[in-house]
Amino acid sequence: MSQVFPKWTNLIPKVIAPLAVLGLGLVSFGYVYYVDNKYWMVGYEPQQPVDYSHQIHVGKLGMDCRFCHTHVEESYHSNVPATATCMNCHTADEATDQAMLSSDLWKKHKTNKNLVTLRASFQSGEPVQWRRIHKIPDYAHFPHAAHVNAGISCYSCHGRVDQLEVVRQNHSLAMGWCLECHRAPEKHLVDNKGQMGAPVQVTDLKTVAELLASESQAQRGAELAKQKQLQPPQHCAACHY
Amino acid sequence: MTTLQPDQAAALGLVSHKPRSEYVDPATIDGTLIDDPGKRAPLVLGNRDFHSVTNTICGWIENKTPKWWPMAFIISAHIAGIGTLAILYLIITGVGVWGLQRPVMWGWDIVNFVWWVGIGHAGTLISAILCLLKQKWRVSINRFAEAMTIFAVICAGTFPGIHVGRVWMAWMLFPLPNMNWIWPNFRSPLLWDVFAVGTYFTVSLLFWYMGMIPDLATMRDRVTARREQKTTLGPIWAPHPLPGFIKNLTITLPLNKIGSWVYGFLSLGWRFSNRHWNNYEKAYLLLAGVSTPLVLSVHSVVSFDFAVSIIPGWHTTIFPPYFVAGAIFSGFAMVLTLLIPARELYPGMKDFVTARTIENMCKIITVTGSMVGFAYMMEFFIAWYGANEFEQQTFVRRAFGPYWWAYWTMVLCNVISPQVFWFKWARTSIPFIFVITIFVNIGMWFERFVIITTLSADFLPSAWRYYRASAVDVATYIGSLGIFMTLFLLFCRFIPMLAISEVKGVMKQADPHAHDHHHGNGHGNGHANGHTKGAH
Repeated sequence: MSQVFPKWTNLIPKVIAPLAVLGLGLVSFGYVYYVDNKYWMVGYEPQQPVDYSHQIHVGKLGMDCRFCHTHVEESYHSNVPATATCMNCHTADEATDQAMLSSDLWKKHKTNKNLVTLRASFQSGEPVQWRRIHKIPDYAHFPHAAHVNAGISCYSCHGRVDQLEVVRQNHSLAMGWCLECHRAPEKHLVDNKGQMGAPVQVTDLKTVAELLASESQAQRGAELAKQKQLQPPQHCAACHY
Repeated sequence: MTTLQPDQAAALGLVSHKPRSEYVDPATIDGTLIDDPGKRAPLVLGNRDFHSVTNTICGWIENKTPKWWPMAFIISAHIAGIGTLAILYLIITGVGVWGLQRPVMWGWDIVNFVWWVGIGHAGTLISAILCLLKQKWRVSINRFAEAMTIFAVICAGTFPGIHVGRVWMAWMLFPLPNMNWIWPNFRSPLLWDVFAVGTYFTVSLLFWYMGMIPDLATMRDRVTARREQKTTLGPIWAPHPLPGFIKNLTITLPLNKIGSWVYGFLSLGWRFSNRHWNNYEKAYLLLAGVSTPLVLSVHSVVSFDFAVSIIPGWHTTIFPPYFVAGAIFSGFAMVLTLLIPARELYPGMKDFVTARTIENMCKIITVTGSMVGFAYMMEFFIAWYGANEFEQQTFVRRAFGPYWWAYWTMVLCNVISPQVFWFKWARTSIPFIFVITIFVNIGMWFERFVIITTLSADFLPSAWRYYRASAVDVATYIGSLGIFMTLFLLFCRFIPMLAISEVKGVMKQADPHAHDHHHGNGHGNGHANGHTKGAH
């Protein structure tokens, strides 16, 4: 039998082998790229127009999340407060705050650049242009009220905001991440209605974090899911409607 | 001459080198339709030796392109093009261009899918089940039928892919890991279907290709011997006003060299060595064993698409066996539809595909057609016997409702027409068989149409609607026929249509020693191979 292939065809495996390695590398890179948290904007913490510190307000002063995010229990959307909410405390009305006028705090209060921005916003009626951090696509609906009232703490999605100087995205917000909890809600349920003793505030991030990390959570969560008759939906139309 | 028994005639032919016309008994067409159970009809006619078998089968590829081929190819390719345009239009515009309307959301697309998958059953039945049952007459049609299977399953696979509407989401048919953490519904027969058809296609393709390797190597050797010859194309035929230099244009191409490489690549280094044949025989038997359950499973799973639902008229346990019988029925009909013209068009093919082979296939058509007819009767009987009025109204509506014409076309083509094969004159008259196979192809298409139009009267009478296909539906269907024929014509032109080594294995020369049990089992390739090697 005569030779079928010319000699140069011996090169083909030598060319294909590195190409195959390259292809495999590209596929691996693509996988890592899209699965990586960075692609999903975890850790996104943009500079805000006002350097509002959750660490001071929530962590140090012990304010409840719902003092500012007022509609989280009755609305799909957890609202960002209007400037007027800030003005409840950070007012600059000299007529009503005579007692404080001489204090050092008051002086700082008057000249602090963040508060100057706030007051300017209040006087002009122009809202502060807060930058949105947590964003899911328009075709997916996330009702805050349903989750909070069912006993899912702010902590489960937003993390320890009470420790943050600047708010950052804590989880991927990918659909797989949503389903992780919908398939195993007992890992995140807290006793917000006091069904198993003293109620736990969903906004008490420190307590909730400890509870969820505790070994008894699985059993307690399962019992809560049973008592609350929770069956988190997993069908498409649960969120895509 | 009419008193001569055909095998006797063939034997005489072998020793005396008489021309074929002298030893063939005209009363039994080509001498293979013997009714005497003591005589075994020859499987290869025409006083051939191994070399002439190789020469004839390879000659269909190597000789000048037959005159009818380019015209047939151009027509088929254009029809395929129309189908592709229809699919493109569908993708650009959306599934609304089809005639789908509530409540009939499974229309021609699903009809065509099931029809093509059904047609794709003959190949594996002939290659695998008939191989295990040692039906030697299959060797002249198995390659042909397997090719038909592959192309039919390709056509079938197109339809679910475009039926999903958003074709760019068709990957969701497969359970692939993704960041959405969702999977197809493993409890849905639609997913089982993906696995069933996917497995079937893979195994059929492997079986077909593996069986072809020795023949591709034969082609490689033959074309390599002539590889320095160049082929000159042209001058082309052209309409009159074309300038002379275009008309007289000739192109010289090293086609033999290209052919040598292509066949050389595809034959995977096959050298006709004893060890190669040994492995080949084992692999062939293994694949036959793997394919055999698939013949039964694939169309059973396709029938689950309907039977697992709760629609009256679909939710029946008879569906799997009845679908399998129907699939084999339509597959054999389609093999004959293609085989009969090919047998006339390719010189010498009648020596391999004998009248008896065709008669055998007609018998299978009658058996499976009767099974299908029985299933139609049982559906009505169970509807009556089950005393479920929804089921009853479904079946009454099938036969006497708005789609009565489809139902009775189906009965005429599927139940009545194959019954003529009880008569010997019917199953030995080639033109008549051809007509009946066309009837069966039509009937089996209508069977699936009858099934899907069950949807037109669902549980909510206010939603009832008469389903009509749109022009795009029709163009897609005709287009799929074009794709099928295009692939098939390419197969006829470039691949040995008959399994050369297997045909040699059933010839008289392959088994000269009646008591040589060494060659007694298997399908006799082993012996033929030494000769194949010698023939080159």
